[in-house]
Amino acid sequence: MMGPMPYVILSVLLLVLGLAIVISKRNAIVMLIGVEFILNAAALNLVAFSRHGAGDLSGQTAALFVIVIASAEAVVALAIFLNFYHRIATVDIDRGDQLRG
Amino acid sequence: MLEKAIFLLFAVPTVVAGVAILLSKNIVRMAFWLIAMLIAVGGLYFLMGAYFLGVIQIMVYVGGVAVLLVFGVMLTSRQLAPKLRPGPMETVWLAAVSMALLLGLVLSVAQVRWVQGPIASPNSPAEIGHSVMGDFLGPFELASVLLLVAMLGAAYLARPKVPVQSPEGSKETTI
Amino acid sequence: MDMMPYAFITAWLLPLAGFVLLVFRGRKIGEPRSGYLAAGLMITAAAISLVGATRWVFFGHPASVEVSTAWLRLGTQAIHFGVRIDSLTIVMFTMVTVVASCIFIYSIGYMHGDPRFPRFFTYLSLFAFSMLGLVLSDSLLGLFIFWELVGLCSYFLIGFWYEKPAAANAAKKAFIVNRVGDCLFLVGIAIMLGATGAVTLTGVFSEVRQGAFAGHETLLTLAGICLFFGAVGKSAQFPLHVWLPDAMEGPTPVSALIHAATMVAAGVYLVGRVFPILTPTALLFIAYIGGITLIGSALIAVVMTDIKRVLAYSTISQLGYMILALGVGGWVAGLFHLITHACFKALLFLGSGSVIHGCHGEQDIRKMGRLHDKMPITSWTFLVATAAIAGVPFFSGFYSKDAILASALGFSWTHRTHGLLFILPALAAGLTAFYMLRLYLLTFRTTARDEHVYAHAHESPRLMWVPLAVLAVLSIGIGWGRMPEHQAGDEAHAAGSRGWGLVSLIAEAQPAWTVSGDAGTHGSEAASHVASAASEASHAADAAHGFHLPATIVATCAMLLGVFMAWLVYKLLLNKFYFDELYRVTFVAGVLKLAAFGQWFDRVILDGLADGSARWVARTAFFSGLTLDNRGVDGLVNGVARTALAGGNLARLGQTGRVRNYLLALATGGALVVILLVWMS
Repeated sequence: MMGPMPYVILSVLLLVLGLAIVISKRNAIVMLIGVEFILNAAALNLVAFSRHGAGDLSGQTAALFVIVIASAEAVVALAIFLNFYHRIATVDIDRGDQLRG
Repeated sequence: MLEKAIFLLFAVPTVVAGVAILLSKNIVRMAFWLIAMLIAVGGLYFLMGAYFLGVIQIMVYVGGVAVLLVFGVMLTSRQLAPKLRPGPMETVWLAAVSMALLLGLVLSVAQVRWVQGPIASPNSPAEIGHSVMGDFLGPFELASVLLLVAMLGAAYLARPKVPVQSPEGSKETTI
Repeated sequence: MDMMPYAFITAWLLPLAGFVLLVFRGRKIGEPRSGYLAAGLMITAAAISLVGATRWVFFGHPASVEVSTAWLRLGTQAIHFGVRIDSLTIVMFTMVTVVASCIFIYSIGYMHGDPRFPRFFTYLSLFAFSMLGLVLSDSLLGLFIFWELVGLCSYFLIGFWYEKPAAANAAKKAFIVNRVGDCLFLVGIAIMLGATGAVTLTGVFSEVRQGAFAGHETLLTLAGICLFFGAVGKSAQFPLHVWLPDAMEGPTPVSALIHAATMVAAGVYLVGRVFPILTPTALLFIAYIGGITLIGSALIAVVMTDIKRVLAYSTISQLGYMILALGVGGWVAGLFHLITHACFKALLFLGSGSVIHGCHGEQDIRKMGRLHDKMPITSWTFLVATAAIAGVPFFSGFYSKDAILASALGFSWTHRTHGLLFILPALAAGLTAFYMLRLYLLTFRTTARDEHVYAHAHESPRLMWVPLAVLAVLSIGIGWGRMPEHQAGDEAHAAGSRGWGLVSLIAEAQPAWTVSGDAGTHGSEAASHVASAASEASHAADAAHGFHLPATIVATCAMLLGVFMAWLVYKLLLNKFYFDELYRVTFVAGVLKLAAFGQWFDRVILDGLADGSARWVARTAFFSGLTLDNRGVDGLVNGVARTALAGGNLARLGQTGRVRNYLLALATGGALVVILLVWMS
């Protein structure tokens, strides 16, 4: 019987990978992919603790909310990036350094 | 033993997917690696007995979010800028920070003495439903508002309002 | 009595109802009606609180009433969100609702014709709600939430005319400067939560009393100073006072309500609330900050020429008085002055608004004059408020300022090294009378210096002068009353010595137990020199009784001197009465005497010195010219400039505007924190 440890280690790996993707990629949409990694790392943690620690459903329900928020985030972020793309015809996030509309 | 094997079966692809995305240059390929990662995490949910969550993960994430991302890739794939890579200094710095973070987190996780609680039995969607409509009623209502606002906001934001400026800045066309 | 909290909660929620209505239907409700709606709700709230206060005073009451409900649960800790009502809450609540009602009514007239009229009342309603919440809140966290809300409303309202770049910039400045203080405030709350595990005020006090900080008095001092810095930002005290004069870009009713009467006083209220946990060292720090602020801004107020800026600096100065009073242990005096100041300063601002309104936007007092003929009601009410702030006997400001000076004198009497804490407010009392009378004379009396402004000036409509009259009555009468002679529990408690009026009501809420009072009697480990010394004076309010008479005399003398000087300079000199005579007496005769003295000095002293020093000068000149000037001074000046430039460029490197670079910095910080945690465990 495995404890929660392997899941937590895996979630750490996913978190660091996601962070590295977000920071290293200049393509805005690939940044979103990195964010999905980070969110999944969090959800994995929640489910693992729900099974091995708390013994009730609260972790799974929280993971459900993570999925909801991730989808909302993806939709809004994509809309923003499309707007960005319409405006300056690139997905290079480093071009958005004007800090103004 | 079997559990361990299945865990590895799903865990290895998630990490591989992450590394592949980091190293890859093709955006469409990255999107497909993302789908692989999401499915593997869904498999891990199944392994932990969270069947409902696994199904939701695959339906919403793989079916919805990932496809949305692929659409995004296609909509903006008219890539005019040259290779979008970070500078060398930044890469080195990022690698150092990532390794430090990884090391620190793994060390701190390893220090924890885990106390095994009761193992939750596999559950039915009905129980999740009770949980959502019971203890989590407030967050649930908030989430519904959030989704509504996100939908409206996205529709508003994605509406093209300004004429597109090509990078040369010479000719202007309206989409 | 059980209904008490709910009555106040109802009164608290009325402005929120106004806000919600106006936010959604404001444009539909239209210009005059949205103002009447907001003002009506505010007056209802004021009526409820007045009835509640009457019941509280005349039908007996417990020390405090609390209603709270669990708000969120963090692990085993539950954070409660609740309402705490004691005499101070009642006084503050009533003051805010009454002053706000006056200002709401006034604004209907003042904002007439503004294109964003409903929006103005939306913000005002939100502000009233937040301010009342701040007063009612029973926990540091609740205080903080409403603290930020009033800051936000202040931002909206300063920048209400955001077309003006000055207004937009002032709003930003106010918001950002306040963030500095609020950040430290949050740190203070975090220290409290970490050390005591409680955020409710009563919970924190009882934990501290049971020794949550035993052996860590420095941390307690630090926490107190951090909490105080919240007040420094909000109440515009010395290092962070810069935002308040600029905030005068907002509409004048806003200046009256937010930047004179209520919001800026919230800082004083906060210090009054957390007073029990302030250590003697923290109190001394607070007292000196107050002292520096009150004298500095009073000096600046003397030379300002914009009518609202004079009042702004005067506000900072008066807030300094309150902070100083709290710092020297005059708890009742400080909060008493808060209430009286709210009345007369709101009146002053509304009066200045009436003047600005009547002069079609002119704010420069050099262009006004003789407006008394044109707007008599404004002039008379302004004179009342001037008398109150200057401390003319039988006006409200006289009593509260006298109480503060008595506390300060009591403190300085016991600690001769801190005599400055009495000299500064006494000096400033004279200055206050001087600059206020100067303002009054230049605006309403003397000659009309700008014919154009004078010709077109007119009295404001009734909607505007009725609130002025109400506030004028309050400015005179609110200070009347008598302190209870002895604190409850004193052996010499006599039945005949019960006080009455506002001041005794505030005195009822005075915290019975304080850290600073405790340090002396228990002789705890932190009984350093300052600690033990200052602790005695935390009972300065008790000790102050003996000092009332000298303080009154000093204050009145200072006031009379200020009035006399102002009269002399602005009434007589500027009108050129006696000007030539005075000129001859002072200058000509003086100069002749000085010249004779100088001649003697020249011949006897200087000539002797010159011979001796000439040789020495010749020798040092060589050194100083070549080495000191070229290398030392030039190098220093250039070095400072170069360092500033390099620092600026260095700081600019970090601000690339690129999200990814910020994220990388964030990740670096996160990694450092994680590694630090691993290291320490």
